[in-house]
Amino acid sequence: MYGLEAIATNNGWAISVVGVSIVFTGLMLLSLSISRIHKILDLWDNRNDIRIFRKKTQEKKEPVLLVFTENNKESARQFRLLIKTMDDPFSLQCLLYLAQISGLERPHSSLCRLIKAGIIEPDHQGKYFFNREAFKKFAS
Amino acid sequence: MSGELEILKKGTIFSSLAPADLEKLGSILEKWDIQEGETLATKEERATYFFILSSGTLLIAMDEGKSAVMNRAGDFIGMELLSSKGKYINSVIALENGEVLAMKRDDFIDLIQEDSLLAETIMYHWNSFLEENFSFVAQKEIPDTAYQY
Repeated sequence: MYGLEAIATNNGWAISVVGVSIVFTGLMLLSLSISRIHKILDLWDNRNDIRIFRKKTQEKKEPVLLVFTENNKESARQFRLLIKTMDDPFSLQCLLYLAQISGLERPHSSLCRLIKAGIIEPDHQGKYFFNREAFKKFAS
Repeated sequence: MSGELEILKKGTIFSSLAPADLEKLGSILEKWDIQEGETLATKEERATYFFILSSGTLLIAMDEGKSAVMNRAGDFIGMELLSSKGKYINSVIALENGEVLAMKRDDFIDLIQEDSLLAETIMYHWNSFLEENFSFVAQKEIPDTAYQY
C-alpha cells in the first residue's frame, strides 16, 4: 500500500492536522507574547509602583529592638511629663523646643529613641500622639 | 560613587531611574556627616541644598507646628517639602548622628530642566511618595512648575 491510501489507513490526515494545529497555536502564542513584550517591560521597569513587587524594606518597617537604660527610661518619663502639658495630638517641634529649654539631656537623640520605640507616633497629619502601651513596654 | 548610587536605589523616588540618570544624579551629590541637633536647613534662609537621607533621622519642622520625621535610607528632603521660590519653607534638624547626600538645589534644578523625561519620572515618584507618607504636605498648594522650588 502506497501514497494517499497508506496515509488514510494509518491516520496520517488526522496526525498532520494535529501537527499543523500545534505548530500554528505555538506560533500564535509566540506572536502574541512578542506583541505584548513592551507592556511586560514597562511593568518590569515600574515594578516599584506595584505593591506586591515592592521590597519588603520599603513596605513595612522592621520591628525595632530597643533597649532602654535607666537614663533612657528617666528621659522618657520627663518627655511624658512635657507631653502632658501639651495638646493631643501635639507638635513634635514644640516638644523638642520644650525639652531643650527644660534642660533635658540630649533632647534630640532622646526624642528619636521615643519615635523609634513607637512611644511617640504620628497621626499622619503632621502632629504626634503619645502611645501609653509602648511607654509601659519600654520605659515604665 | 557606588555608595551614593546604592542609597539612591534604596529610596522609592530615584530607584526606578535609568542607570545613566542615576550616574548623573550621583555626580552632583556630596556626602555630609550629620550630628544630633545639627540644623541642615533653616526656614526663610536661601535654599541652597536638597538632601537624600543615607542614615540617621531627620525632623522637618513645618508651619502650624506640623512635623515630618524621615528615617529611611533614600528618603528625599527637597522640592516643595523644603523650599519655594529659592527659600527654605521648613527647617531640617538631625535627631541623631548619621549621613546625608546633599545636592545643590541649582544643580538639581539644572538636571531636571535639561531632561524632561527624567523630571517627569522624578515628579511622578515624588508625588506618590508625598501622598503615601506625608499627605498633609501633598494637600498644600503645589507650585505650577518644578522650577519654583
